[in-house]
Amino acid sequence: MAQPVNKKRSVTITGMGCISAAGRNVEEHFYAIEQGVRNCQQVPAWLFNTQQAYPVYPASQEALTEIGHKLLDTVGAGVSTHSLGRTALLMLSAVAEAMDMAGLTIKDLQKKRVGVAMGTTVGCAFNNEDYYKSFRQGDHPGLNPVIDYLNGNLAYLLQNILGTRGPSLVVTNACASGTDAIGIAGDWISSDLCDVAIAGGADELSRIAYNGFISLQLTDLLPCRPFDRDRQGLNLGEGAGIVFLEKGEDVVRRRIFPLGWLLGYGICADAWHPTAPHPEGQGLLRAVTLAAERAGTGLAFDLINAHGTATRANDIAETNALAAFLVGHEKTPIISTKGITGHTLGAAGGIETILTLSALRRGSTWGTAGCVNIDPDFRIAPQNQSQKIELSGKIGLSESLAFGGGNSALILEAC
Amino acid sequence: MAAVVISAMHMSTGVDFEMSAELAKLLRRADDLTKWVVGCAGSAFKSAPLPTIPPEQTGVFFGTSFGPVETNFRFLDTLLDDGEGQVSPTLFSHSVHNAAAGYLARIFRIHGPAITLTAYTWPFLTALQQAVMAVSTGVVRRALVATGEMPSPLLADAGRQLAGSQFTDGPFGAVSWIIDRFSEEREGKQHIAIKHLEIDETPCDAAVLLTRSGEVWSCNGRTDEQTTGVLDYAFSLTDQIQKNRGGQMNEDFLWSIKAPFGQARLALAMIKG
Repeated sequence: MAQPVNKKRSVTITGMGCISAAGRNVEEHFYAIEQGVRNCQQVPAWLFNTQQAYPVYPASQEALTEIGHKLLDTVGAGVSTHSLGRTALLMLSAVAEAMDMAGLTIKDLQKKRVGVAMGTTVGCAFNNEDYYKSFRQGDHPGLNPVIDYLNGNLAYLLQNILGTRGPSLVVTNACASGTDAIGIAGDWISSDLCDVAIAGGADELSRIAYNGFISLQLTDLLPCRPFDRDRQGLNLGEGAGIVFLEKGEDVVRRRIFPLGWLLGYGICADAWHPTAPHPEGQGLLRAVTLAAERAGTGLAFDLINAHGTATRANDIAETNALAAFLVGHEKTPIISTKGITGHTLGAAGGIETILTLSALRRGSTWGTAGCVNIDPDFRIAPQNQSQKIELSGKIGLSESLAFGGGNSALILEAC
Repeated sequence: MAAVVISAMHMSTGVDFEMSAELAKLLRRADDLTKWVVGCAGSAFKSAPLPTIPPEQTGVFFGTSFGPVETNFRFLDTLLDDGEGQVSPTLFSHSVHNAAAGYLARIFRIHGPAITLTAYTWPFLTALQQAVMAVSTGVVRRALVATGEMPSPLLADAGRQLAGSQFTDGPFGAVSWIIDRFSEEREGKQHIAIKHLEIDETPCDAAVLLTRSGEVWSCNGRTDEQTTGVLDYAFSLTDQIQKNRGGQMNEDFLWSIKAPFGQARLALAMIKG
């Protein structure tokens, strides 16, 4: 007899997939965290040419994994990897892994209402420098880059590749895009707008964003040191993190074992500054409080995966907000995984949701790679890189902050 | 779920754009897209009838197809002309798609969700759909739903190459609606309620997403009207509602749009408090 579905657990996570500098699937990511592997390097020439010395976290040169190729092979003719941008290929690799984990096939999906919510930043901009240079010189270059750009809306593209129908959108909330995409998709499932939601984020490294972050003096010449007293800024990364969400009763009906649940989502604006967070983290505090209220979990979290970019402003704002939020629960483990993945912008929320859930499922994780000496100015202390953390329960929080004053939080429970 | 009503709407093109001195000061570093979107939202807020709503009970839902596309190119100009290490941080921070939503939240003191959505189909309708969900489920009491597009010579050139003389570049500018949860404070008055909104996107030749060939809208079953340009659907919809409001919208209002990339339908009805 089917088990009744707990209303709080109505949004079930059945699949997850990710790719970044830390690995080409979820398992490799966790291995990188356990071993402290930091694939931080100078920008490889195959990505783009630069004279700048700021290191990055590139994913593998071949963005489409084997399982991603298999997914496209299943779809058949009509999808050429040559016309797909790197962001789209990273997304497809993560989607393929998540779909496989969820035990769903394309035929299964085509019988359901499938929502697609994807977050990105670089992936929504026209960044073809050669085309632009040619155009501004008065030439009429071949239109393929424009067509590829128009084909590159991640949600529209994925629906078309899978041959599925349902609510579809791309969130472009800068660095919180992936978190918001998952939160929105969870609301779709709760509201019965779709049976399955494919959600997360994807972003590639681009010369334009790379130089933009350097111009804002937000980048570190060394591998990033989130929460460290000597931190100097972030390192950009790239990748994708995708989850499959389904209604609880469908998971019971399909007789599959869920990975976990999305319990709550909160999003609030700082209304403060174009690129800097509110110094007290006021918007973030509202967002995590809202997420906790919606989840009904109280404040007893077993793990908080912070945004933790390693910029001076982010890390102080974030710890201020968490100190105000976790009153009476100051010992809650707080980590950042950006020392392993780099800051993958629109993909970060997707990847970090998966790393949070994976840690909760395993019952342990490691402190913040790159953090040796916790900044003494923090009002609450995250875990540094030497600490292995045994988790006492299954409920965690993953949070993102963004340019434009965005703050978003997801509350997850592992199965 | 609570009923959702349209409390105010405004649309403006870059050409007819006017801005107060106070707003101009706040927007001195902003690009044209952000100026148009903020100016348009300000006009909508001025005519929104409800008393002050707590900042955390208001959200921003901004949809755009191409966002600050030309601002991104201006940033790229600094990279190409001046070289690495000499690029403009101000242009970079304004080249991200959610820059306009950030300004909207700051200037109008909105502390609820601020979400930017990007779609080449009908981003204003996508933003409206998410906003209606947020209001009807009680996440917020009020939502500013906005869209905006700026002209781009590069995209116009591509459009002309793809569609020839049939390509229409523009109009550009912004559209803003204020939607609210229907409440007792509105007793005795007539309001436009959003009954139903559905969007169904279908695969098509990507070029059509730029040229918008074959995109037609219809209001209350009347003859199809051809759209002109990327923002025309939002202008047309807003215009039709404005023409039908003020007691003339006695019957249900149905606006629909069809294109090679899908179809969408919005149903409205007058309700009395």
